[in-house]
Amino acid sequence: MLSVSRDLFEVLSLVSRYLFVLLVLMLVFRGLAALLAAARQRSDQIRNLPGAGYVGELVVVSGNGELRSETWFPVPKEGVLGSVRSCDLYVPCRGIRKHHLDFSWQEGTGLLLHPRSGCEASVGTVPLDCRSDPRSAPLRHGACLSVGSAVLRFLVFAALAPSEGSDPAVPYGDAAARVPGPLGGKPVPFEGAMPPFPAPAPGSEAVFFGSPEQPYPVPAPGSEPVPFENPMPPSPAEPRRRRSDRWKEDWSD
Amino acid sequence: MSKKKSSSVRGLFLSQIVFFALAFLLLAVQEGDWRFYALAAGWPCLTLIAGLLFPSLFRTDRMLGALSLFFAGLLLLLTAAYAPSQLPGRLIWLGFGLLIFLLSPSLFPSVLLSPPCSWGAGLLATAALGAKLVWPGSFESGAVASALLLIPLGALMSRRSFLPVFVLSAAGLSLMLLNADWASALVFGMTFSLLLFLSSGSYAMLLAGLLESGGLWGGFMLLFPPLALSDLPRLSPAALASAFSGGLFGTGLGLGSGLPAESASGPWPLLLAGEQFGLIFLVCLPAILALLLARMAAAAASSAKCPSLFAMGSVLLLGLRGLLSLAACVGWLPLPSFGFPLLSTDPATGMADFFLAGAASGLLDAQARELKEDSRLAMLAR
Repeated sequence: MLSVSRDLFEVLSLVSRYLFVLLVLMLVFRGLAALLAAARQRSDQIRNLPGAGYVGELVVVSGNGELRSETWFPVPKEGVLGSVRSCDLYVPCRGIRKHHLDFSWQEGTGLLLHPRSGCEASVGTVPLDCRSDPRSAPLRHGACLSVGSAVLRFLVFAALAPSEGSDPAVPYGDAAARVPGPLGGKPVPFEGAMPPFPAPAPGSEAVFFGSPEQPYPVPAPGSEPVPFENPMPPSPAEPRRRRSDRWKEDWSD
Repeated sequence: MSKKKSSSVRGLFLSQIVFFALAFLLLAVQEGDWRFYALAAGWPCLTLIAGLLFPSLFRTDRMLGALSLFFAGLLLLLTAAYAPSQLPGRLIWLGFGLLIFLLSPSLFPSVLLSPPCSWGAGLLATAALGAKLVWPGSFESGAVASALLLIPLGALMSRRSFLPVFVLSAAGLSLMLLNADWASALVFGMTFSLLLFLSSGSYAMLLAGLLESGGLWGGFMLLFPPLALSDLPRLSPAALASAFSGGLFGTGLGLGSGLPAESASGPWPLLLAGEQFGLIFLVCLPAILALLLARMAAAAASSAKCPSLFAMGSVLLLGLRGLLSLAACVGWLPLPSFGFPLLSTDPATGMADFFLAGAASGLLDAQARELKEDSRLAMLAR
């Protein structure tokens, strides 16, 4: 087939080496531009979807003075709950260890909790420890989680299909969780999405943090529920810090 | 995809198409060989098809596809220029490598990161290392085993089962050291230790990983003198110097002395590229690898731990091998057997690299689908 003389080939090769370098430099710069554009696109998508990767929120019912009532924490699909900032769910409360329990969301079941060795928690009245089967007491919508000295109520985002056993009377976390909120550093007012807790009438036996089948406190039959007056607007947890700040925090701990 | 990103990715493919068309044509007019004319037409066509069709057919990431194809094309080009007798074999295993790259996204993360498959991957890795012990000249199993071991290690670390992690990694390292595969053992040991730190956030775990890897290294060197480091083949000074003999722009493709393909092992393509295309080109190769690793690292932003750890492990494995390959190329490390990622002459190592790039592609696609689903749910909630 067609070939050229040695001299002509040498000239062509010597000239084309500059072209090759130019082309590979173009490749590098195009690659860098594509990478930066992809990173920008992803950060825009995440900014428009602050709830992306989260399945719901944990609202503080009782924080034993250390956590303000109705503070809320966004719950990712899986992670670790503990009292250090490097945890996915940072709950600084007495009785909660640095890495207290692992959790993961299972579609159709709920949030499965697995306390670490030496740690305990309870879902309603069902206690959990490191030997318990997480599927025996999944945390469903409206159920309460007692961990350390804190009691937290779990609310699933509205668009996720309700799991079995959840109380349909308890409204789901709604679009308020999707708008820029604590994840962007600004607190989100919780405008009536949570119904007020009915305080038990005197002499009645209210079941507060009952089983997952009845996660919502219900006064005894015959007594009239007394709505809370002047419910405090919930305040969100402190904005999540950057990962680098969290590592610094851990070193000082 | 945004317009800016799509035009940048198109530029990636276009520059490659022109590069390889020109390079193979130059070789073709030198030799008059019909194979080089076929490559001058075929490889750019393959690149074009890869850019247009593969992302939609196989769910591969366009940027990872472009960069992996560049390295594959470069290896083919250097083989055609200086070892044309090895060209058919190289074409075949590169074809297998690309097939693995195309099929991996469909298997990740749903199939291969499931518990039965992750244990299967661990068994396969151990079997590959054991096979090398029984048949020493069979194939380089270190890189394959390292890539496969990432799957069960990621699964165990995500469940915080650290005792099985140490047992599995010790078994893998021991078999690599028994095979005298020091390079793979070094890279795997460092990757495993760093991954332990990333999964647990604990410096104690990092120290434990380093102690385990270092302890096994030292133990094997003392117990098995025939496997001593000093007896390993090293790159000659002439081979090392040849990488820098072409100056900034190189001697020109097809000119220069050219290293015989049989004399050097791992970094042969790197040394030859440095001689033929110059120092600027040589510096751009690690930069292109860095871009590829940065794109793979985006897969680590998964919402689930196991895929995230696997992606981090892949980036560490390829990144450390790239660094150590460059160190061996400039003579800092006495171990010559580090092939540059995706530019390795060993078929098994090359296929393992394509597997990792394809897996990262699958994880990126899964992330994009999750974000789409989240947008849909957000729309429903409003």
